[in-house]
Amino acid sequence: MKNVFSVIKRPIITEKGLDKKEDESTLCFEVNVHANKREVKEAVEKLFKVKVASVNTSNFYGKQRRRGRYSGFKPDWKKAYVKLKAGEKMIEYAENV
Amino acid sequence: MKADVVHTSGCQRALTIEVEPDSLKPDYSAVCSKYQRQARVPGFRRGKTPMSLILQRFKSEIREDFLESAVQKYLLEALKAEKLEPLAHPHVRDLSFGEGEPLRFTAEFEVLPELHLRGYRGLEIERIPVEVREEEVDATMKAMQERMTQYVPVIGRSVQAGDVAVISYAGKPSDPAKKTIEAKDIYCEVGSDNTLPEFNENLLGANAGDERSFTVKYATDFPNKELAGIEVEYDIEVQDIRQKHVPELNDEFAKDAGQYGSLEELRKRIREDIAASKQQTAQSDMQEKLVEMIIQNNPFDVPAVMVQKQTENRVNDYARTLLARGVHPKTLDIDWTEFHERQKTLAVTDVKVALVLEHIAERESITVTDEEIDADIAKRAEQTHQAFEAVKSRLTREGATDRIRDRIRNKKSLELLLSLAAVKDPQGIIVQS
Repeated sequence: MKNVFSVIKRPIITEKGLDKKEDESTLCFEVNVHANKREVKEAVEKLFKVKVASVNTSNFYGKQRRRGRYSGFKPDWKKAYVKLKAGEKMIEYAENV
Repeated sequence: MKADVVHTSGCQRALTIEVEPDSLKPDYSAVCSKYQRQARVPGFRRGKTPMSLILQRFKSEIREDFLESAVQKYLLEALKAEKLEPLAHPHVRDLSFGEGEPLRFTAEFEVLPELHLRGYRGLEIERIPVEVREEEVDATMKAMQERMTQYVPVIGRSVQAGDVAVISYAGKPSDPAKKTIEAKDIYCEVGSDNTLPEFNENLLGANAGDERSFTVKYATDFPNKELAGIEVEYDIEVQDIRQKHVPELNDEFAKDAGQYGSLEELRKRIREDIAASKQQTAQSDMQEKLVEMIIQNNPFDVPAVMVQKQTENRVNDYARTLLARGVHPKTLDIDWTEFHERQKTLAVTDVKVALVLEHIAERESITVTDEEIDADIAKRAEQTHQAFEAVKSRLTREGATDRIRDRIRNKKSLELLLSLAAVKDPQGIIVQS
């Protein structure tokens, strides 16, 4: 993956995500389905200028959706929990929501 | 909180209010926590969204909400403190507020003028003489005579001058674009000036059931614009011939007119009625003049809102009377803007009169009891043949009892004014003081 923006799609701001950020200095992003942990790590380091300790990812299959007699699927997506190295300054991504 | 009142003009007041940021804090955070409790943000259960996020997301809404309630609150407080009563909802301008800054705004509104009426006691006024002339009695008698005129059917002879022919007609105008005029059971007095000469000519000598055809050429200045200047071909049929039977003025007539013993008694009664109504008019004319004098002696400003409202009332009343007569106001050839202007000047006087009377009622502690209102409602109920309770509950529901109260109070104030006045007869001698 060439572009960091094609790896990281958006931050995920939820109750769980905010808790993790507070307690475990872990950020949560929606990332490209084809990105692997290493690419996510590089992208976060490059984009936010921080050091990353570890990355956990999980895949989500798109849910079935129906429009009358046609049915299809929402796109699959991937979530990544990025733990920053101890002592790293926390990123305030929610600043300009 | 600092409040500053400025008399901008007449009844207009500008109230500038400044509130320190410290006293605003509790209110502001109350609005914030309301949003926190109620806001639905994706990713969070309701009420669990962190305040920082709420403040980011709903900044402008919170500000608006807060200002609305805060302006209301501090405005009411300031009005209470300054003892001001706005006549309409105040207009707020120059609103400024930011975090850590004081809340500043100016409210503009109108208040009732302060009246200090001087010299409404013992005003000198000339008595309007009440006299009933015999001609007036005669005219009323004549009108009664006309009302009691009967049309007796005539059998066995043709129409003579002075008869009334009952006709039906169909008139075809020469202009084919215009509609045919048709009517039935029309009473047509033959030989009268009110009847068109063509009709008179053709009806004379006709028998019941006869048909006649003739052409009428209307003059260009004929009152009915539809017909003016055109020719109409009439086909008429005489349905019936009747003779006008005017009752003679004698004791019999008096009895028929309503249980009066003699003609003299009827005349006396009519004279009394006319005198009473003239007395009433003279009284209210005198009262009106007194109020006018008071207004002239004590100039004061009237609030524009009241004038505006009164003007609307006047225009609406006029439109309503037109509609009641079956005329749509839009069909009339009236310059409404000019009409509005004219009503406005009248409304100013209306408002002034109302304010003066209210003030006098207050000064002289004139009150209206519930019994007086009930009596007024009872009178109304009797006039419309409805049950007292029904009328009362309807009026109460419509909030009209306050209007009745005002009217009775005004009437009492006017009566008091007249009783306090020095009334002179035409020679300038004071007959009542």
